[in-house]
Amino acid sequence: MRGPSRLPIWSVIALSYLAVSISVTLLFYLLATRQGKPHTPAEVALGSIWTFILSMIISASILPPILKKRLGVGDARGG
Amino acid sequence: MSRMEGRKTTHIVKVGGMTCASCAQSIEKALGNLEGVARATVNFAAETATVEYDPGKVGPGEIEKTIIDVGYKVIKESITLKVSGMTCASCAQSIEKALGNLEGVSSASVNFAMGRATVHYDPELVGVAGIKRAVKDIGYEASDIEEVTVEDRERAARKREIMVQGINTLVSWVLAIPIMLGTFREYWILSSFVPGVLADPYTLWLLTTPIMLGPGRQFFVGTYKGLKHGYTDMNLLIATGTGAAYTLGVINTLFPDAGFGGPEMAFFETAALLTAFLVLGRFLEALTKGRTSEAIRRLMGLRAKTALVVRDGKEIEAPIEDVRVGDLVIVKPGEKIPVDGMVREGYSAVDESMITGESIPVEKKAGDEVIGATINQTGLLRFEATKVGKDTALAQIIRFIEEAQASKPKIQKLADVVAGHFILAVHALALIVFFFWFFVGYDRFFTPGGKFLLSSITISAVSAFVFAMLLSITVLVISCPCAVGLATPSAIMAGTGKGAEYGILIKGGDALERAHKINTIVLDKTGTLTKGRPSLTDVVVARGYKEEEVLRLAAVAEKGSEHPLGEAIVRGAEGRGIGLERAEAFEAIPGQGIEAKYRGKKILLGNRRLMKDRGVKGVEPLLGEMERLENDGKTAMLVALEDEAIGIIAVADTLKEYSKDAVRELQRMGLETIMLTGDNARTADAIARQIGVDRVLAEVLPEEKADVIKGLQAEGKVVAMVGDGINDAPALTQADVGIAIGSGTDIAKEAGHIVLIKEDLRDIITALELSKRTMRMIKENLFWAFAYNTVGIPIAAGVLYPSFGLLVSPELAALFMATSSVSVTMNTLLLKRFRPRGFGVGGVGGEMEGGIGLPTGGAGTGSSLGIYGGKR
Repeated sequence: MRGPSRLPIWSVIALSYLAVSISVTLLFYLLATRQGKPHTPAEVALGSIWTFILSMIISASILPPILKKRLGVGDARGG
Repeated sequence: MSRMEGRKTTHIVKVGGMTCASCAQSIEKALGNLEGVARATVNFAAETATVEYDPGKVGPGEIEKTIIDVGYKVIKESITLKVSGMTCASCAQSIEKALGNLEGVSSASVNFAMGRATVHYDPELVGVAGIKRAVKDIGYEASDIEEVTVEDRERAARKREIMVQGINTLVSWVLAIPIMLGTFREYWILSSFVPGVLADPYTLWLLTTPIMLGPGRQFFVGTYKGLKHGYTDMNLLIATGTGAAYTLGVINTLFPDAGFGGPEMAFFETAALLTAFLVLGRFLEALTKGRTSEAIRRLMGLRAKTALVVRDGKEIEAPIEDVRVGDLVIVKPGEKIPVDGMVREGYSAVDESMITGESIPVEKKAGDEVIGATINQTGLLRFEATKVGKDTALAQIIRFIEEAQASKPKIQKLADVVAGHFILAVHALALIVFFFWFFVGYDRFFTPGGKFLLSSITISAVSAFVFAMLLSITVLVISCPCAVGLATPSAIMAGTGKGAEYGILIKGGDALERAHKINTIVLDKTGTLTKGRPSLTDVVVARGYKEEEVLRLAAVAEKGSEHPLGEAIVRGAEGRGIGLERAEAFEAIPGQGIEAKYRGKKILLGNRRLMKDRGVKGVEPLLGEMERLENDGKTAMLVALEDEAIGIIAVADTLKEYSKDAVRELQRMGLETIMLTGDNARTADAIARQIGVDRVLAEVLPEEKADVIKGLQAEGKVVAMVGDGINDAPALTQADVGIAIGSGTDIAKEAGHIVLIKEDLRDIITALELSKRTMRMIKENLFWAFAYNTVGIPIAAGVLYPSFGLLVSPELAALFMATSSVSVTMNTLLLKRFRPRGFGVGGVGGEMEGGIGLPTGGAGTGSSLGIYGGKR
């Protein structure tokens, strides 16, 4: 039962984990291209994709609960 | 199944389609996010979701929809009815509408052509009879065709799961083996018989794709459903691992010069074998998972489906849901007793072992209670239904165990914290591993010729990217939060289920956890250690009189008495086969005893004062014996005939069978045993001496019992209290573990953490042993689950590579992962072997009421009935 007023919150959350993932991917890209080692463009591209997927999975799981807490959205998980 | 408690309602839903413990967490998260849900607990092993919610804000429909939305199934009860009287399609619509309006009906589908109506419903809210009535009310007739109970559906769902995963396993292995042979064709003697076409990358691609689209599809679908709701689960680990391997294989096949090792590093075998091993793991898990919850399923299967009820003077076979309180029910020999009730007519032996664990059939006659689901063995019984539906003992027991199995003990908190963050941590680790080997490790440590663990295959020239990717995928695949998540609930399910087999109901994981720590056990005396009602214990006779004669005269005098002591004397005489006539006159003398007239002679029965007041002669020689009996905690009464003392009759509350054995065993287990009673110190000491308890706390008022427990706890003791579940409720609640004993069928009324259905004190030992075994099992499971991940993940990350040149291949990682959760479940299944410890019964038989005629030659003054096993 998520209310319509929550839409901006989810946008903020989505933007935040996209930003984190892109930052980590950029870091990989910069390190791979500036390291002075003979990585092929394909390796760098695939490595960037792999980095982006993994960092998306991580940040998309870590950030929402933290941001929801800050923004006052509850979680009644039992257990 | 829904239940109201104050403003909160609890809804228990059977959930299908969970494949690992993280699935349970995903559902918990999704339910927890629903507004109005106060608490959501999902038990992966029991496949149930228990949701506490505010009915004003959310309903069962939304709860079930959320579970379905996250990607799982809700298993509901359904019935298909034959509907007659429909003349057109709109009739079908009318019936659907009428049924849809019924509370508890979640869906109704009526097929006009077939004349069938299929209804999914909540049996707690509406019964089959209500559904039929609704159809009848709008002018049609509904009759039975087939009823599918929730357990039938659950069983069917489990079978389907086993079948689907079995087919997946078969398909993936049939394809994976040629892929493996083709990939490694150049090794060993394989080239001599493996055709070259199998080594072609396009053939490998062709063979791998069906594995990914068929058996492997479930991981991607599961990942999608989870991510759609913002949750990650085990599927994601697998999907990223297999997906990455497959993608690399495709790239290497289409663009051999892309720099990922070319066709020699196809990666298809990695994707195929990963999937094959993981699917095999799911198949084995599906096979073993159901076995841990066998006990409760067996209990559910005990329910009768119909009952022979007398209505309007006719005997009719009615569905069990139609039986009402007050109905007269007939049960023939060999049939199942359908509901709880009170026997009105007939005599039979009933096998109650399935409820109480008692293997000896119990005799039933008019006035006795019968329990639903037990088996009537010998005679025909007519009984009045007293508890039906959710109020029956069986329904209560099932609910009790379901709640216990859904509960989570403290020990699981660590496991939950770990399992909850596990997947994330593993992805983070996979990213770190990838970065490390890509940027640092490869340059520093890579040497062509490194080997995969348990394999002769060497790692030839691969790029930093391929090497880093390989290790990153292996880390994802080897980690197994399932084993961690499954360790505790599977053991609790097995432990509580095993307890139920022996009539021991353990209220939850916390009770199990605390029970194995107790070092002091407090036993209530009356009703727990003793039978709680006086029985005849001794007859002492004066010179010249016979035991039987004295007892007969005392019993005749007491025949009309309603006093418990008088009843005990009459019962004792009758038990010895003494025929009793009624006295001609009877008078109770308050505070002293009674006076009766029999065959014209005066009989007096009472205390010293009565004898003294009436001037009875010959009392003096009996006084020594009387004092000895009183010192033993017995109530001794002098008997006089025509003002001459002829003997003494003693009565006392007798020990329950096995009380002494149980106390001895508890002491052997290292527990301090304390007897708690409101009786005076002398009586308490006498009983304590017979039983052999370590300490006696006498003259404790009922309201002080809880304080006594508190005092013991303040001394640093971990205390278990055993007592009557109703009278000792505060003390049972105060104790670290409250054990309510002898509850029979009134389970719901009980306080305490453990309820023993039978009155057998040895069940205390069984309960404590079971808790110890279960806790040991949980610790073992958690140890192995953590140990597996702690050892496996670093090896997968390549810690052995710099020193030994060894790596774990993703395929081997998948095999390890698949076996870890299966091994945890298999370890738990060892609890099925649990049997209560046997007890020696030497010296116990004499403690039973009716243990007659062990003369002890009481100092020349008479003899004694050896009810206390010849203790004198």
